[in-house]
Amino acid sequence: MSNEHGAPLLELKDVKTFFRVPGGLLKAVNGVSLTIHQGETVGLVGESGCGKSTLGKTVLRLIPPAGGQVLFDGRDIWQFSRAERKAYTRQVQMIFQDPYACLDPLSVIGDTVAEGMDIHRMHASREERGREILRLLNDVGLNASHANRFPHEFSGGQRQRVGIARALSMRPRLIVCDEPISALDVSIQAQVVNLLKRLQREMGLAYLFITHDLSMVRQISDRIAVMYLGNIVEIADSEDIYLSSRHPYTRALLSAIPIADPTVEKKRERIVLSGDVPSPVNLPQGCAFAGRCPQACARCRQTAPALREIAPGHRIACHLAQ
Amino acid sequence: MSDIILDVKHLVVTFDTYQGSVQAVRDVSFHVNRKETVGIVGESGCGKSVTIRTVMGLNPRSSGSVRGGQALFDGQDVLQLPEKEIRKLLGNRMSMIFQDPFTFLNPTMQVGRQITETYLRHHAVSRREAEEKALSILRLISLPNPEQNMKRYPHQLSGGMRQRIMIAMALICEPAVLFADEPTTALDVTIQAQIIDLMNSLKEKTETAIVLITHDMGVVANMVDRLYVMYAGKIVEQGDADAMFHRPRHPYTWGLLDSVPRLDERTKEELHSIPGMPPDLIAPPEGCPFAARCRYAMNLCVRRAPDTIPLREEGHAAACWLCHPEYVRQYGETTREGRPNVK
Repeated sequence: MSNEHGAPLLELKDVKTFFRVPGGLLKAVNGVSLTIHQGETVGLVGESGCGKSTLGKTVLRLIPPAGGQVLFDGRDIWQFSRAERKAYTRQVQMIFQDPYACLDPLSVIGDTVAEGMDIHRMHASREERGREILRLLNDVGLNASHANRFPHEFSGGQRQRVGIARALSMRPRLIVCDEPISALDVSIQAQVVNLLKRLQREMGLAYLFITHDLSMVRQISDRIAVMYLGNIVEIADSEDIYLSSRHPYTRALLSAIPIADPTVEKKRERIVLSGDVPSPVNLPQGCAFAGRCPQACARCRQTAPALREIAPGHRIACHLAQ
Repeated sequence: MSDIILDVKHLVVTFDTYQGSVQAVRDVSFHVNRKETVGIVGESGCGKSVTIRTVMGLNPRSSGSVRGGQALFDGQDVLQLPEKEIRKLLGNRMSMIFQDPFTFLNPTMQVGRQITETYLRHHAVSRREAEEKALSILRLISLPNPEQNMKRYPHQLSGGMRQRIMIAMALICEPAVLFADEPTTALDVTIQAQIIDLMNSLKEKTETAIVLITHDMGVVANMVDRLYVMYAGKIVEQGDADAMFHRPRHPYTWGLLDSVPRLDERTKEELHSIPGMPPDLIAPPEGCPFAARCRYAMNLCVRRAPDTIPLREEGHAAACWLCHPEYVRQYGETTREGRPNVK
């Protein structure tokens, strides 16, 4: 499953991303360390406002971190030379949540897919450009006739395929997928997840798969990191998260997902968390989850737990779990 | 007093657009019993929201889009009622909660006033009495600190609290039917769990029947008594929750159940997906609308749409040729696992 040997493709070391807002400092990402290896998928899961998208943008070099380092192939992405920066923008791509908003309504799909290639001058002739567009469209399950159509002529699932083709056009090594399936219908979600898995097998891509949907992320991830208020609270191999999660937040998240079977649902014991996610501005001291945690004790409210290993590859940030 | 509070018969809704007529709802019939919770499940564009809006009289016959059918609420056809009469029903005997509470609430008005507004409109009571009533509803739906929160504006409340305010507005007149259109889709999973728990508790505490519209089979699983599955403007399968989840018979229902990974099962290498996409309702196919995506489709399916065929269990029915008695007699019953004799 997880590919721990070899140097990581991407390494985050204690990354902090803060925003200055009226009333204080919004600590969107508050000290996250994470590695992604070649060909691996890491799922980043959390509720809205937990900082998962900000972390994705930090990886993409769109937001400078307030602290810590983002290393790609062992090099700090903020120490890059001009040429390295250009290479980085090619090797790391992104797929967005809303497949309509991220396509230019005035450009035909072929041009949208080729835009990156044009910028990086990746093709020698017009013919080669055309061939490459067709190859990419075929890869994502579209065909030649789609190249001359506009985004509004496509369904949501097809638009997401266009977004994937555009990302692939750069021959990336890492794709940051920010909620790539949340806007799609269930039957289409499965199509897109299967497509992403196939492309990964064929091209050895690594994915950082950001989502709030714990049921779909399991299908695609080798490892899963659960985020709460800017921190990773649990990280483990995908199956370990589902079968032996130890952090009370992860367990509450899992138990909150409804199962499409009334008999199972009636028997299930659910942990329903009270209250909402607190504001990430001026966080209280101690564990960020303590306010909603059914097991919180005095120690939790005083000192924030550090991420520690409880089993090989399984790390959690909680005082109480063994 | 009849047991059926809402009886929709052969509803047809068509919208004229520049591209042509969109046949959004094509002969839909369903009913809701008093105090019952009914789910209508389908993907975007299947006509589930249009159906509900039409039943609420928001899409009156005079608009021309309702081309046929009846929607009997307590024996009265809502589609024939003048707007004045509909206004007496809405928010009072029938009410609705929506997906996004923030766009629904008035941003310039304290939420307490928004809740009492509904009550004052339908009852001859003083503001003081309406406020008392609002407080009792807010306690019923367990909103923390109801007195203080009533004085707040929508932007000062969290998503889950706003959803509770909307539910309070819908329930304050103790309606006979509450329509909930994707009530949890915009919420985080932990908040979704809170709202599902709340709605389940309301079933016991109130006399209100709930019609839950969603695309998520998981959300309906632990809420509904009966379920309708809609596809391309038609109801393709209906039945008790038990039958629908454990012995579904329509290939589209199988597809919906299979494409959601289950947390209580191990992961599969390939997730089941339904190939293709729903048909264009400007020119819906002549035969079964699902035939193009169905792996069991026969020649007949493409040519002729199946009628709704009643199945063994009371109330369970599916619009699929595989369920036709002649087909079953000849080839046996097709189940979610596959056809018995066809490899």
